[in-house]
Amino acid sequence: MAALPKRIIKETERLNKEAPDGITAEPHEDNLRYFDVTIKGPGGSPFEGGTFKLELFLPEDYPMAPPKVRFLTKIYHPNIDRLGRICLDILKDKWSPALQIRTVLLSIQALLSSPNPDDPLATDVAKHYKENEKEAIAQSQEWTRKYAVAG
Amino acid sequence: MHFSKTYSQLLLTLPQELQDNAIEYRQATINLELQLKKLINKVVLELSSLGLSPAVLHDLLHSCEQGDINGKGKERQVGERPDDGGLVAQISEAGPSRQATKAVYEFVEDGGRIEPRLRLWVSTASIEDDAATASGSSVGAESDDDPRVAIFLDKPESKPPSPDSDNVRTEELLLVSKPVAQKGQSLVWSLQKKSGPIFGSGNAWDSLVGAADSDDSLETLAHPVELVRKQVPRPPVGSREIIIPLTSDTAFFQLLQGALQSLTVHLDTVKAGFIHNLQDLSTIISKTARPRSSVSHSFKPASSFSDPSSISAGHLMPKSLVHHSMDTKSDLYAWREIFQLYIDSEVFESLSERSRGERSLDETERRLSEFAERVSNRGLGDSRGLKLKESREALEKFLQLNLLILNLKKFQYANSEAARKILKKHAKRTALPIPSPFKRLDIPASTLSGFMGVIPDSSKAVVLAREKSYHDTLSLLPTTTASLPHILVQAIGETLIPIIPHIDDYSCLICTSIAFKPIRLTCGHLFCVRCLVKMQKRGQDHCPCCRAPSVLKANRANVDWALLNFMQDWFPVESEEKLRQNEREAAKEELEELGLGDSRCIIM
Repeated sequence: MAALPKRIIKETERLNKEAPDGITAEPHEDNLRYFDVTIKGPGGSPFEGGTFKLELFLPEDYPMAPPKVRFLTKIYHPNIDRLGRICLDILKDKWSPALQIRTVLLSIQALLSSPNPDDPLATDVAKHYKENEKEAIAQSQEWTRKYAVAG
Repeated sequence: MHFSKTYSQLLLTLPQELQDNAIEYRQATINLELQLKKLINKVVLELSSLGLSPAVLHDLLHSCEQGDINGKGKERQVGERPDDGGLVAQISEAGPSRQATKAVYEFVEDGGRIEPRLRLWVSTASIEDDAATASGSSVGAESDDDPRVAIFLDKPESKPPSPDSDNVRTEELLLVSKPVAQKGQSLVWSLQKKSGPIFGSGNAWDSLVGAADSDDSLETLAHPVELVRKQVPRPPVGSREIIIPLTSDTAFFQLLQGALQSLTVHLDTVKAGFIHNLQDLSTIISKTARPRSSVSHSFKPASSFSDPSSISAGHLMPKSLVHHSMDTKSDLYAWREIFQLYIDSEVFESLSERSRGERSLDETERRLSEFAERVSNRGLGDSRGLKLKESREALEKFLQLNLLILNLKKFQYANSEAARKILKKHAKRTALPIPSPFKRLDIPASTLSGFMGVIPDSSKAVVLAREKSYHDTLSLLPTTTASLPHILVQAIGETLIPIIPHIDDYSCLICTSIAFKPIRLTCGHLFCVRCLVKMQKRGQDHCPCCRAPSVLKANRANVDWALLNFMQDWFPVESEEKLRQNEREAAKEELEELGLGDSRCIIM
């Protein structure tokens, strides 16, 4: 394995020193490109009170290519599918090498605050959100209680 | 005041040219303390001669406040406070229904002088009673019934005329607005010992909120710092108003005000001296931390290479900077390290998002000594790090300036403590409440400056016109005092730190190391050549910063030569390192493109 680029070392240091509110990201000891991430459900969203686990991987060509991120905790969200894959433009075609782990995680946190059923990944959830938003939100809250609250 | 000791310590750290001034100042403060104490005694005597002993005053001021709380003065019963012993009880009996005798301790501004005085309301019934018995002459002291009332009633006016005309005359005489005037007209400051609901909780900011609520918003804007401005409580109908100017008390506040003003002047001198020293230091550091162009004959930053590929690793010879083998020495890298340590230490102010602001005295002291320790641990304080004698002297001076700021912080703390104590003593001895502007001396002085005094006229135009002089003359705490350490810390940050360019300002956003060789895209954003080559190979055309399609059309014409020269000049080591790294990476990529990736041994 090639030496870790300076940029990844710097990013890890800063995440460790001053993580954004409600977000943690720690690299695996045996693979410094693989991060265990948690994001707290934003206040006022159906995910409030939950702590969601994610995995983040920095590919060999990072930062030219975007990091790979996936939810590990089950979540009822129109832009996140059953496998935890996230529909977020900056993780795909809108990626820019000026973006960082920090900005990616903040964007995911923002996605929890504002689900976008018009650009769905989980079509059934998106349909639910469009047809009966109240009920869908209740469902999201239910899942949050069920899967994202410890103990 | 108790800061003589702290001040002596401060003296030791002051540059010689400031010391004379400082010694004078110290002598003055010792005298000041004595004088202020004497004046407090005089105030007590003066008040007692008016029949206003602390106990009586306390009751009077307190009764006013109670009246406020209850909304009506008459609700208080005579028997409520059994230890009352005298005046109030006396008067409540005398005045059949509106018995409240009230007093307010207030401040008037008169030509820039602060004049404290007492405003009393005595029910006319009791006045007439007393006047009848005393028949208008100074009978008071001998009056066995209630000497105190008699005396102070005797003072302003010997014969009690009709309440209305009396009010008018008093008003003309003392240039205050009529206390029974309409709502919103009277802008007298009422200073209360404890605050009733209308006065706020005694916390200045609460009062501000209160004032903002009740006052015309324009006025509030014009006087953002007036916290306790408020109408005088409406006196009970049928009462008479008496205003007693307090001569010794005026002297007390004038002395204190004068002292605080001379403190400003003194601190201005200290500040000027500091800035002067800082500029000297800046010159020395600039001379000792010189870029490569001024210490090496082989490098000319102005030279422009026609072909960027002509710049390769080894071409730069930065060794002369790190090692001794050069004509002129420079301590550029040592100074850069020292400043980095200094910034990281966040000695005086925290920069973190969670706890931004000035640090406490103890914390500052600890961090400053930690910084000094780190510098010497790394050998930056001696000839190992700093090769030039001038550099070592400059470092010493730099530490001294920091120590001076620390001592100023201490001095300032001692000052406000001393002022607070003398005011507390004043309040305790006289029963006159501490004027609220003094209650919290640690709040920014700019907030304090507007506190003291009265605006004699309620007319808005006058208020606005007066605003300026009002601030100039009535500032009891000079505006610069509270934030002087902050100003000096800023000065260091603005004068010294920028002497040496910081690597973070010249980094490539993508790889985070120095952007060498620097390429300026047509959209204006700058990246290192290596990162842009990678993007081009991947066919990524959008600028990482602004998404403008500017990456693919970039070529050698986009090299920022001025910056390239600047980087070689100020960051020779980093530039060289980056160049080597770029070359290694490019070679490896080339091999990979030929299908000969990695360092695996190829067996034919």
